[in-house]
Amino acid sequence: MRTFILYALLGWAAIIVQAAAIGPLVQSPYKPDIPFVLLIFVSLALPTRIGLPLAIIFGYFVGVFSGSIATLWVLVYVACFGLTKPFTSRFSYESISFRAVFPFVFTLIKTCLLYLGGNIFSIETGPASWLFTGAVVEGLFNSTAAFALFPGLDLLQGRPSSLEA
Amino acid sequence: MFSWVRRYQKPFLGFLLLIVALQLFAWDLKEGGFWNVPSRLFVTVSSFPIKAVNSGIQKVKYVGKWMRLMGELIKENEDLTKEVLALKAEKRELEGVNRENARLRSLLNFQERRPLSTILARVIAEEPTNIFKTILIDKGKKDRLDKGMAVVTAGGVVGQIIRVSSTTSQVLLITDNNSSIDVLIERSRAKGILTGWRGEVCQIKFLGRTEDVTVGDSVITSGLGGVFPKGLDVGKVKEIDKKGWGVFQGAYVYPSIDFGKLEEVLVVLE
Repeated sequence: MRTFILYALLGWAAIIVQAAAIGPLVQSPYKPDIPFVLLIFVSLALPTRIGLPLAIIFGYFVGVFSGSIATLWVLVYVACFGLTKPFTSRFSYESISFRAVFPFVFTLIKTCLLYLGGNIFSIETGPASWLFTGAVVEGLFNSTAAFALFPGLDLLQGRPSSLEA
Repeated sequence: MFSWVRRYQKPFLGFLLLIVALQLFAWDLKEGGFWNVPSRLFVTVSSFPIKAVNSGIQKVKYVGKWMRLMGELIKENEDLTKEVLALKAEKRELEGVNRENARLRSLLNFQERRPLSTILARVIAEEPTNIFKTILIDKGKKDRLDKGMAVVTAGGVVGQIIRVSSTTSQVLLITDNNSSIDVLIERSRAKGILTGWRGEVCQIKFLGRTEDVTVGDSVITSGLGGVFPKGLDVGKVKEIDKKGWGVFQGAYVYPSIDFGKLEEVLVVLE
């Protein structure tokens, strides 16, 4: 329960930073998605019984501030959480290459799911070309953010960060 | 029954979740849906830290903007300083031109007042030693200048030409010890010979002891000697020396011209 509350608060802080700081500081149409990077870590590092409610909460937090409907985001976050799970047993999430590639790939997957969900439920998500160009840039941002955040979150988990390949 | 449920637990849960999700979507799409109340609450609670973070960010941005502005101001200040320096130089140049204009105008007035045949010359060099007092002007034999010609300005007597080359002439100033000019005390018409004495001060030699001379009297050229026209201003009596015995009294004269600031002169051709 303690871990759940801690990560829920972290998610809240992430959405506050995302809404209040990243927007004004990064003068670009493409920005890193800190709550999503946190979701990736949660899905990799925490068990499903804690991770799944956190994915719902993170999705809800983002949905409330996104201006879109919250349920779409909840579903996308939950789907991303579910899709990451099979990889945790096959790859060491502590490796540098995995950390670099994983957030990037899942940013693309998240965008695909949003695009799909948007089409299914008639929610305007913008032209596909623009959406996926943004996804590539955001993926790069997210990978960079993961490099910065994951070691700190590792320490929070109570184990030292190991960045061996 | 339970074994059936246990057997199809996962598909059943998946189906249930799908139904729940679709229902949530349906509520969500409607005005005042399922998320409405918690969303409002969440946004209200989150607004406080968001405002605080945003305020901090705005301050950081303000500082960044201020620093950028300072950089621009420093650059602008440098540019303006350069411009001010350039304008000052230009102003100095214009002032110089104005002064030159005034000097030339006074020389022209002098020429009009005194119908002498003169030629304008510029001072191009001064005596490099401290012993003699000469200047070099930019006119010479080519301009019909000759040795012994008088050199004057609107302010008074400068000296006479002692050496002439084809394009320049050397002028012996009245403050030089080798210079001798026949002069008059304007008020009393007392005569004497003006020579250089010390520094920028001249002395009048052979001034009779009984002659009426007082400090401040104007000294002018007498016209004798055939070099300087009569009545040109030479200077003012600064001091009179009647000490000792003899038939003469000493009189010291401040020239009417500041020789250190001579730039243009008139050479009297006749």
